[in-house]
Amino acid sequence: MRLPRIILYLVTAVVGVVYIYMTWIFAPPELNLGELIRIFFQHVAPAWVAYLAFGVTLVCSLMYLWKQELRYDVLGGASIQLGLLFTTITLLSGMIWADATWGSPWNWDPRETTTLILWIAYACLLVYRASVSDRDVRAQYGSIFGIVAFPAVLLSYISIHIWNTLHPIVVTPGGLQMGAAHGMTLGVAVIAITLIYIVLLDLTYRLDSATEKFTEYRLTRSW
Amino acid sequence: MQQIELFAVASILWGGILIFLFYLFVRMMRLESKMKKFTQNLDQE
Repeated sequence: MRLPRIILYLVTAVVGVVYIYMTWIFAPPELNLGELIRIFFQHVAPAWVAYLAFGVTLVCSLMYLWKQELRYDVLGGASIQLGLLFTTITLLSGMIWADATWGSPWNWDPRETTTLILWIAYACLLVYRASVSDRDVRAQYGSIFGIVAFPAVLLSYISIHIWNTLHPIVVTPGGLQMGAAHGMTLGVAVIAITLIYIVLLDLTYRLDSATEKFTEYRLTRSW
Repeated sequence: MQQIELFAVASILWGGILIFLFYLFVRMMRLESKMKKFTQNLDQE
């Protein structure tokens, strides 16, 4: 294993431990939410990383269509898997939080609904990619769909600003609407989950690349 | 009641990440066994 990769894994492990400490011990209970504020740090960070993952897919799709290099398609495909993982975590943790604070796990709130649409859009894209055996066709159309699906991310993000919503608006033009301790914990949470995403993306990309190479080699040998 | 919700959310986050790691591990093992079989077939040929 190369040194930068070992350093990345070690830094991720250390920041992950700091994240757990800050979420469960450092952050004080909130005035209205009490201990439930701890859900917040495990809900917002995966949501941010899910948006980031789909953003990476968008960039990789554009790069593939421009350069026609398969590695961009493999990276974009790996990022979709991780985006779906973190969107699922966001939706489930959001449902538990909604049940505790709003009295019902699902309220068809604009943020909930648009995030569900986002999840469905990228799940369809993943199913499409898995169902096409022609590598070039999969990369070509997968990249186009990777671009077409991205407005769902923007819609999910701006939904709380353009529609009436129950969802709290934490990030405003005036800054974070929370105390210093909670703001610091949120910052560490975002860094920790982003690092975990990078590590998982690295592992998924390497595995997908190896699978691609092996499939290609097997095909050339069978001719 | 709040403790159950906190435990559930922590399980979803860390459980989700661990399940994904396990999924990658299973895929890696499957790829490795496929490659072994393939090289064995090549040797036989």
